[in-house]
Amino acid sequence: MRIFKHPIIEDFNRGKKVRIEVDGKTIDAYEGETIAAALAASDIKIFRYTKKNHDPRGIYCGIGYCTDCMMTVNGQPNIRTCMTKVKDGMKIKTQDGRGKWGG
Amino acid sequence: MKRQYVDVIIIGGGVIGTSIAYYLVKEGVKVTLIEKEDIASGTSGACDGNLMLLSKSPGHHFQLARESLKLFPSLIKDLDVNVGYRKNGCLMLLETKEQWDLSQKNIKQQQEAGLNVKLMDDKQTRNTEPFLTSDIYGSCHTQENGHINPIMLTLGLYQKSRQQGADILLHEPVKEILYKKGQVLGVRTACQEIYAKYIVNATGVYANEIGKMTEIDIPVLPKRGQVLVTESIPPFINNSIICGCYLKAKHHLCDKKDINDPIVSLGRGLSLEQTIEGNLLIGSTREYVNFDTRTTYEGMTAIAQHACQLFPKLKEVKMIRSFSGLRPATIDGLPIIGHIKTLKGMLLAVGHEGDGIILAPITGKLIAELICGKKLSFNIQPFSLERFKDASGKLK
Amino acid sequence: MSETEIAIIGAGPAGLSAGIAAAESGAKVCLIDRNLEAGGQLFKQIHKFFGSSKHFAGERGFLIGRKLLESCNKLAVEIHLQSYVGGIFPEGKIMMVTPHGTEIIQAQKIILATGAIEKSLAFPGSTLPGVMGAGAAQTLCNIQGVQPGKEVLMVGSGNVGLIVTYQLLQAGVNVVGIVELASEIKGYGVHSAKIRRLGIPIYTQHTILEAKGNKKVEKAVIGKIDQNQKIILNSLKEFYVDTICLAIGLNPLAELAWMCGCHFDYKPALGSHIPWHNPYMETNIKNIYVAGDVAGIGEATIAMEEGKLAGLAAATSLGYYNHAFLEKQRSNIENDLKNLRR
Repeated sequence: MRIFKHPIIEDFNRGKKVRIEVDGKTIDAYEGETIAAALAASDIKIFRYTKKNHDPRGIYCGIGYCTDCMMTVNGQPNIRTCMTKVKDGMKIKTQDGRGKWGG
Repeated sequence: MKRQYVDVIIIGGGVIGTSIAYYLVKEGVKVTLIEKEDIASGTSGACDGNLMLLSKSPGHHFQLARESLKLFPSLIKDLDVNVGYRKNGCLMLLETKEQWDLSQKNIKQQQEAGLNVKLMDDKQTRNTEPFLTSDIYGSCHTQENGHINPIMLTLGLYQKSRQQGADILLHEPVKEILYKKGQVLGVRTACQEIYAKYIVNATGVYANEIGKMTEIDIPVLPKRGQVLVTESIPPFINNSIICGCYLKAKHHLCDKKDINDPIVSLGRGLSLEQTIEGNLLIGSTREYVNFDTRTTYEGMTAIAQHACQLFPKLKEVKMIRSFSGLRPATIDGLPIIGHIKTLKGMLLAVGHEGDGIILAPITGKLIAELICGKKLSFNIQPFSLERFKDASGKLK
Repeated sequence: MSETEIAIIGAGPAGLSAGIAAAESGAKVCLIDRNLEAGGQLFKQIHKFFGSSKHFAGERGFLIGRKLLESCNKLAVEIHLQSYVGGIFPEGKIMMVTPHGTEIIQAQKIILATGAIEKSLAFPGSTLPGVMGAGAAQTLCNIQGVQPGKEVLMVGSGNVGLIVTYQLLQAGVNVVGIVELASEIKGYGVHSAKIRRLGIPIYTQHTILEAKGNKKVEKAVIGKIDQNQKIILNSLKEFYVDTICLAIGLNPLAELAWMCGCHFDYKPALGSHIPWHNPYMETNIKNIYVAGDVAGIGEATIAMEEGKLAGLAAATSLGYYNHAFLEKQRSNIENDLKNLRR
């Protein structure tokens, strides 16, 4: 859920409302948000499945280090969603293992 | 000072030393392995995992590698760790007409030597490797190839040898070789003397340092190989890949006019492999820079540029690391395996350059056979130290 | 290939402070940072800092970040964002990977201010989505304006655990409790008092045992431990949470220092293996400096002081300051650091 009222932070500097597609489903997002944040706001927790054991992974470090939040974005696999901002019309897919080129 | 008596002392805890220990303890020999740092802390921990026949020049080298490759499946079954062994194919890319022509002769020799290798045109090559550039002449392809995690292999050999009774001393450099009247007696470290009938020098790039302790020159030089590591990516290549200039670089066949070309001056023959985790290891330079293990901007740039030329998609892939390892190189590219004639009880198993991983099993087996007085499973005459000497016994 | 006199890797509090101190001398400085914005973790710190007024006491972290950035802009310090360093090679060559491709920066001095990463903890279910670093939760709620979850269990009662708990509450998230292995609360009394006033239980001598759930966190199990660090079996408690935050300390991000061949010392009190440095923050490798968490985990105020010192020292060795000036600054900073580290 997004925070609209905060005792300290007056404004989260949200940009224009945009729409992104996650596994075929359209969700709302705001320019300036990272993909990870937009997904978290829509209560999407699972970002990818590991290659070996097919275990789910989600946001873990949030600063581009752990690679747990990698997803396939516009056909490009292994995108760190905590380090990538949303763009209108972006197509995002839950990644399976190392992903597929174009997949 | 502590004193110990064993049958054989092995100096060096890389893949060669641990393999020798492994084959010796199997024969019931009492072994002490001495390593100055840690298991696989040198070359064996800083190399790629290709088990490659295609790159070997036909002859003794190729045959030795082939014998060794045969040993892997049973060896791996015997180890307790997962060494990530798998069979794959190997592709040598031919980028120019010159390489294409050169390979015609090479491939014939390889086929005569018994390698199942075929020549493919540009279309066939791209069908095998879809991410390859269209700017390619063709390739040589063989299914006789493998891949392994070299660090896990070394650790596996170490573990198994120790389990079966080998004594392994880590962080204990050899200070002195004890010998008298042309016969080895043992070694001295900072804290003990160990006596043995045989000493095996398996110290790779440090072979000559040990050699000097007995005033014997061992012509092994460190040759630096820089390797670039990418992020983990989806399946990218179906084979282990080497480029056509690999053979040229490996065997120092470059012309004088090529020397200003960074590809040649860095002695680079490109190789690509994808690990089980998905990272690409792209190598490698071949430079004589003593014991400097840093990676350089020039080396990385040369590797990256060539790799991107061959696989344009790599421009989108992130590099995450680089490392370099020192390959123990001899002047003719062949290892030195066998007794030292001038010092009884001293054996050499060094100079494997970039082939230490594939040659480790056969080297271990041969040294064990030599020490146990068994019939040798391979003629080691071509790998003797004597080949470097002239008639007077001096190094050429 | 571009050239600079001083390249600083990491534009957090240490890096920015180093950049300002060096650029004020007239040296040519550039900063490299892999994040979308400069400021490191400062912009998610919405609480007021302690210490003396010299160190921005009473100021909120994000405002400090703004001030540092303003200073950098005034001094026209170049900041490369979304750019990470793929390697530092001999003779000061830095391989920088930007969104537009790879660039080489040739630098005379390099300051590593790469910061730290949160430690992780292994327990059954610890890889389930919903288990995250406290810093990640903080980023979500203070920068992105998104709640990381609805019900949170915090692991660790150090300052990070306490502060993030409070900030989660400010963001409208419910925190069911804080778990602390030690017998006492680790963080400052000021922070824990605020938490307790709000009625959030702090379970000392407790540890997280398991995260349960189908493909994501649905429950957390904690248990009390006895003096021998053994779990007391009838003490297990279950919480219905969708998020478990780990605030159990930080590790320096020292890969580049390793790559440069820096000598390391093992200092558990400072977080792990720490690159050795002299009183001027220079490592055993000439022209390579360290500052901030990479030189030992500490507060942002410490990072800023160390950054300033490294910046001054690098500029001095290029001839921009005289040594007497540096010496005076160093002794002041050293005193400040002593107080801050207390």
